[in-house]
Amino acid sequence: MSDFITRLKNITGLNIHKEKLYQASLKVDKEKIRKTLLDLKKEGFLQFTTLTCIDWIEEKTFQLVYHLWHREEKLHLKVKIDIDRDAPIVETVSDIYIVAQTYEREVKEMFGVDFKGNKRLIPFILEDWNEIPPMRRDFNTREYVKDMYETEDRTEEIFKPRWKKYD
Amino acid sequence: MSILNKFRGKSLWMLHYCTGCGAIEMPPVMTSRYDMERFGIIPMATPRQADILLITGYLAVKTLKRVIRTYEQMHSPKWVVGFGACTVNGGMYWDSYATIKKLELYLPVDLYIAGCMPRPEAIMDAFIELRKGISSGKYEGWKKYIENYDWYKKNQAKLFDVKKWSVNYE
Repeated sequence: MSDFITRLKNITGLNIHKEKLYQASLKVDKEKIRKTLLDLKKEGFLQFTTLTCIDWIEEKTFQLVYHLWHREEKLHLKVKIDIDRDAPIVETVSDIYIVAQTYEREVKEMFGVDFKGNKRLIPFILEDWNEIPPMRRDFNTREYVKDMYETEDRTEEIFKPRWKKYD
Repeated sequence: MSILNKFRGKSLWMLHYCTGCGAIEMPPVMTSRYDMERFGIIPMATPRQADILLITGYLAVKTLKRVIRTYEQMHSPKWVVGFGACTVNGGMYWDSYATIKKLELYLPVDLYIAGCMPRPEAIMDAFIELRKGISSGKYEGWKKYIENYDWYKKNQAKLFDVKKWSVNYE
């Protein structure tokens, strides 16, 4: 495993560090993400597992994590990039890994990150959504729940359902 | 009418709308372990043939639209059973932005089964109770829905466009 990481470091010139057995991570600049993923794909990272986003609201950044899997060497590599939270635009990787198209669509919907060049950034799961993207940390879920859904008992209840009582 | 109710209670076709994890408790109830067919209840494939709408678990606003459409397609008389804590007050999704908290605001729930989740015993118990209630004419949620249509539609309209998602809405 360590041999492979060393070899990978020498070939690609990337600063990969091992975190656990079978797991390593790597941080690159936002501009280099496409080149990095192309290099890694050539080295045998054929599976794009998922794309996740972390909202670091204090640092005003979104961190995108691209999870890759190397089947022969059994290495799970996490490629991380930081992007500006106020202007979250990043280049798509959906032409390198076609599955990324859907993950980018999800991140776009849940965090509002825009992916330049993704041909299919249409709405994904949410319907009739008018608020800011719900997974952003400045979206106040409880406030929204309080406004949208009633949780208190009403006094002028029109129809009170019966309960199955156990006694 | 009481004689009709008596027969209605003996043969109920159930449409189970399995949204949440509660669906996993249904197979034992349907199959030989608890065997709800003993009480004349069988699962049914389409809303137009069903008498009971069993909602097993949380409802996102997105699924609520479909549930309301399903409910309005069913023929009267019809009954709604809310299953599990999620339909009662949101359950573990009490602060989720996507799920509704109280089902009774949007549909006339005849019977709630509390629990997270209710075991097959509780479901059987509720079905027996429902059978008794229907036979004696106690459960008339579908009438309330017709009488208070505007009230229900007002609650539903807070979440989505009711014109698009209702059957025969004027």
